[in-house]
Amino acid sequence: MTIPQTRLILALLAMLQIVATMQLFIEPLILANGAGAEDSATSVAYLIYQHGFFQNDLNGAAALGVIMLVVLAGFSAVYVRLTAKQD
Amino acid sequence: MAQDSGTRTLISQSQLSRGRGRVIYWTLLVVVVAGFTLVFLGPLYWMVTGALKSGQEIAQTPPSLFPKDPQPQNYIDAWNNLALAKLLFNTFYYAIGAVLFQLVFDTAAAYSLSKLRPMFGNVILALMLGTLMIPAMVLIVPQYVTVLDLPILHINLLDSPFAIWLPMVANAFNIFLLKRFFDSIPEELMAAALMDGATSMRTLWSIILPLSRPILGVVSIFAVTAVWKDFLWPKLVMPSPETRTVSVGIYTFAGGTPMNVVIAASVIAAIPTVIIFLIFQRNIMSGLTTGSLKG
Amino acid sequence: MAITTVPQIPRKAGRPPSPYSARPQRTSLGRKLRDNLTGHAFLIGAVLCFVVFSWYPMVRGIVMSFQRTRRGETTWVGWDNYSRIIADPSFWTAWQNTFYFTVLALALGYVVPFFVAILLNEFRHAKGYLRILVYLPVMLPPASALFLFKFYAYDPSEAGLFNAILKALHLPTSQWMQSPEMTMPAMVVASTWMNMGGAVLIYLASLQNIPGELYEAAELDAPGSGVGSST
Repeated sequence: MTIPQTRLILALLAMLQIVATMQLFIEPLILANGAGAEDSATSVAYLIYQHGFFQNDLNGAAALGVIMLVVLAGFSAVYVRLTAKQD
Repeated sequence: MAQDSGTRTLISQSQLSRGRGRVIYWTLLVVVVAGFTLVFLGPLYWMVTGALKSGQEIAQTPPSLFPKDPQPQNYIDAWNNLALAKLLFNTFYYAIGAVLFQLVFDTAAAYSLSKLRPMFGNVILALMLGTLMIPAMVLIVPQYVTVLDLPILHINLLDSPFAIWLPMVANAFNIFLLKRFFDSIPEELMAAALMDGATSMRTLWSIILPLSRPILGVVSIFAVTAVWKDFLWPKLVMPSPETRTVSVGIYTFAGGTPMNVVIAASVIAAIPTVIIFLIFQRNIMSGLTTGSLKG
Repeated sequence: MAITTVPQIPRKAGRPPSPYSARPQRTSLGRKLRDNLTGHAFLIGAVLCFVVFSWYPMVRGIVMSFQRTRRGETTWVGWDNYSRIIADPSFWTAWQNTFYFTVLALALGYVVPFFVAILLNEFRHAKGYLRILVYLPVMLPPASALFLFKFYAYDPSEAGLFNAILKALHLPTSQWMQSPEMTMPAMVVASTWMNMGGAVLIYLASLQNIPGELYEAAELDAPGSGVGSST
C-alpha cells in the first residue's frame, strides 16, 4: 500500500537524481584530484571543465554540454513514457 | 507536519503496546538512534577533533578517538594562513546580496504571476520552470562567456559580486515556491484593498508580504545556503584571491597546506551553515517538503 | 483557490479570476493595457535575469558548439567540435564513469533514503532528532565534507577512518581513491552521505500524506502481517 501511494514521488525523485548525478563534478575534483587513478574518476562534467577552462576549448566544452543535454532529454523521454504507461 | 502518536502508520498502535511489540520497538529505536548518530554525527566529530590532532597523531595506527594533545594551533593557522576572515566575509557578502536580489525580484515576479497575471504570464512561468530540467553543467560554459561580456552592455562581470547575485535571481524553484504561497492567499483580501484604490505595489507591500513572512524566510535561507555551498560557479567568476568564496579559497590552498589545517579550515567554513540549519531547521524542512510535494 | 465573492465580468475560460477584473466599470482597453504593464513591470527584473543568465546561454551554448573562436575570430565549423570531443580518448571513459556513478548512486542514494524514511515514519520517539541528523550533512559546504572524506576517511594507510574500522573487523583494508576499482564506490558513498537528507525528507512527507485507513485496509487483506509494503 505504501508503494503505490508514493510511486509518483519515487519516479520524480529518480529523475531528479539522474539529473543531479549526471553532473558529478566536485567529488572527482576534490576526492580524486580530477581524473583519479587510471582515469577512474573522470566524469563528463569534469571533462567539460577540463576542455573549457584548461585546454582553452570553450567550443568543445559547449559541444559536450549539448551532448549531455541530449542524453538527459533521452532519459526524460523514457521517464515520461514509463510514468504515462503506469497510470 | 507534526505527527502525533495517534496517526496511523504501517504498524498500528495496538501492535506496539503489546509486550513483544514494545520490546522490538524500543530495541529498534535504540539501535537506529545509535546507528544514525554514528553515521551522521560521527564524521563531524572526527573532523572537529581530527583537526585538533598533531601531524604525528593523525598518521598513527590505529587512529585515536580523542586528541591526546589538542593543538588549537591548527585552527589558528587555518584562520591566519588562509585569510579565512576575508574569505568568510566575501561569502557572507555574496550571500546577503543574493538574498536581497532574490527577495526583491523573485517576490515581485511571483506576485505578478500569482495575482496580477499579465498576458503571457503562463508562458513565462513555463519557460522559467523549464530551466529546472537543464543541468547547471550544460550551461556553465555559455554562462561564463556571457559574464565575461554581457550582451548589449559589453560589461565584464568577472570578480564582480553581480556575477553571483544576478544569476541567483534566475531561480525557478524559489519563484515557484513563492507563487504557490501567494496563490493560497485569498483573493478577497486583495480585492478589498483594490476597491480602496490601493496600487499593486501597496497591495504587495501591506497585504501580501506581511502574510508571507514564513515563505520569505525559507527563500532567504535557501539563498544563503546555495551561495555558501556553491563551488564551481564562484570558482570561475571570482578568480582573484581578494574575491574568492570560502570553499574555493580552501580548495585553492589545499595543495600546499598541511592536511590538518585544511580540515580545520573546512570545519570553520561549515560552522555558519550548520548554525543556520540548527536555528531554522523547522522552516527549512517545511519549505523543502511543501515545495516538492504539493507541486 | 479561494472563492471570489466580488462581482465578476465574463472572461476567457482557463484563466483564473483576477482581482483586477473585479471592477466592471473600468474594463476599457486602456485599463487592460495598464494592468498588463503593471504585471510585466513586476516581472521584468526576474525575467531579465532569466534571459541573460539562463535562456540566452542555453541558445548560445548550442550556437557555440558549432563555432570555433581563435584569436578573437569566430567561424562556423559545423560538427568539428563534436567529432573532436568524441575522438578524445577520455570521452567514452567519462561517460562510462558517469553512468556507473549514476547507477550506483541510484542504487544507494535512492533505495536507502526510502527505507530510512519508512523506518523514521514508524517511530513515535526521537523523530525530530533523527530527521535533523539525516539532513545535517546536506547543509555542509560540499568542499568541507569532501576534504573530510579525502583526508580522514579515505586515507589509504591504516590511519584512515575506514581502514581502521575494516582492520578492527578483521576485514581487508582498501587503497580507496588510489585504487581504480574503489574510486567510484568511494565517491558514491561520500556523495550519498552528503545528499541523502533531501530525499529522506521528501519521502517522509509523502508517507505522512498516506491516510491511516489505507494501512488498516491493507491489514484486512493480509491479516497479521502488518507489513503493508509487501503488497
